[in-house]
Amino acid sequence: MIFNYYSKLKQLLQQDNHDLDLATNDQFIRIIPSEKKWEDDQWKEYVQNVDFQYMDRHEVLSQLKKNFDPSLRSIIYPWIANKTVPPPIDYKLFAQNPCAQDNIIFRDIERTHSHLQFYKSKRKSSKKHVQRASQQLDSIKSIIDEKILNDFFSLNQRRLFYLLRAYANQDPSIGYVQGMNYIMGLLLFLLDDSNSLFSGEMKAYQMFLFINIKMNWSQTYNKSMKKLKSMVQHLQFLLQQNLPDIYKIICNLDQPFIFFMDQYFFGLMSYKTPIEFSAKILDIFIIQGEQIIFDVLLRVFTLNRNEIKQLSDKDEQTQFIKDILPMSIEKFGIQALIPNSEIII
Amino acid sequence: MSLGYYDWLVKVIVLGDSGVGKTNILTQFCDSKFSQNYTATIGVDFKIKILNVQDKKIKLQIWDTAGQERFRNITQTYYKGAYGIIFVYSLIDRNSFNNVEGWIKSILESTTDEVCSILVGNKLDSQDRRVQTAEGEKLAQKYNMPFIETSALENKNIQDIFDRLGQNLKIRLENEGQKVSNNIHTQSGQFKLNQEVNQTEQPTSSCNSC
Repeated sequence: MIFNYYSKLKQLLQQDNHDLDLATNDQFIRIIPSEKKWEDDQWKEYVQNVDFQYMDRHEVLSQLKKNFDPSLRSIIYPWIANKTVPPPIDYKLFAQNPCAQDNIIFRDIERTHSHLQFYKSKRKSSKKHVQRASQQLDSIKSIIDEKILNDFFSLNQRRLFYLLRAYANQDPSIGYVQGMNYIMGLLLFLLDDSNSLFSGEMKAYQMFLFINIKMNWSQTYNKSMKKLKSMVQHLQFLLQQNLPDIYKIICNLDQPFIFFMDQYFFGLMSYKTPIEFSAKILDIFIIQGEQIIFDVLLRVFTLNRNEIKQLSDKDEQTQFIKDILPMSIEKFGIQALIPNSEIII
Repeated sequence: MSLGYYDWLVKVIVLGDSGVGKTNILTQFCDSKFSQNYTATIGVDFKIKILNVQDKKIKLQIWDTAGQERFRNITQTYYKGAYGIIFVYSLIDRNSFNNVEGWIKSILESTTDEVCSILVGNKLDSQDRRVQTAEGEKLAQKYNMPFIETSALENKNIQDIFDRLGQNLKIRLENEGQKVSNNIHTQSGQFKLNQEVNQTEQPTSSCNSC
């Protein structure tokens, strides 16, 4: 039966004029993803006709790594999230009700992707304005309502506030934790729909729920931070196996390993990195999970291996390793850090 | 990018609620700027700066921690080996002042080493003050630490934080060095914390809150 299935599949694939390469031996059939980039229409056709759960993961992943029209994200992401996360019908309710972390969210809005025009503040960035904003921000003691948000924030900043507050209300056991602002901020930026603001927000919110609930990413932020610790431990193991010399240097720095790595997990590599990089990481992450973080970090350490070994001073090593990702993006370029990827600049 | 010769290497941690200006204080001190495109710190950031205190050079390893309560689980693991602590609150955020004692207690619970610390009330540039100077002074006295009010935005008294902390660190380090020196003298004859001779060490001895 199995033999028949594979024989048939092999036959079909050989007849197929798509760009699939087929390698077989007696036991396995390995489908090697096409080297050709999908056109926009191919993406649309695929998303319309193939159920996410039956997709060819390798092919989709390979295509996501390639350069594609950024506007396609607004159909690809919901395609991924729709089947597994119910439409957030209570979103408005969650967004309007105050949450326990309102003040922290409020304070973080202006400190989230603030270099992007999309999130530019309402205020001019003169010293006087920063001063006044800072005063007002700290003085707020009342419930944060629409009027206060209107006074302080630009439209997209307000949308980000509501999204974060909604999640904190929907999942009160986790609430809002710093790092989420970078991920949600990235999602809203990537999935924004200027024709329908609410639709863009919904897509961002649903994808955030997919990441946190379906992919269990929320456990990175819980009180025990068990997931974070276990991911960091795994990374430590990978380094030990693949780059024992670098692993030894890091161990000799007398700092907890988590000190070097926690930021990459809390913010899904979108903290202090260019938007093109964090967007590509997110594209891959939603299919591959945290594996992409491990892959990129291993690559980063491999690329910097000699330089790290040449540093003689422990503080220099610590500083170098602490800043290794943003520094490597600048030094090697984004594409060099993400295997088989094409990046839109 | 070696910072060259130094006499002592000291780990300093900056603690305080989210948004009180910890990162801005450090950016002013280390990079002489106030960033208006700033970011909320997650986890912990790290900076190095050499501080000149009279004839001595103290190399500061400064750990800038995230202020949100949730991160305490991991930031507490960073307290180990800290020799200096800067507690920061915002002069216009009463809660951040009320929470300072919580931060002090978290240090007392997490480390048996006694540290040199300083209390900093930031955002002195603001008109809408919610914490009076006398209150800050009283709290600092209670825990036997120096107190200073600053503005990272206007670069007011920022250098003073580190100068005062540095003075106290120097006194302690010299005392400790003397003690260690006396002990070592009978064995190898010399004790010097100096990068050039590759004997840089983290001070491990205790000091009362300065």
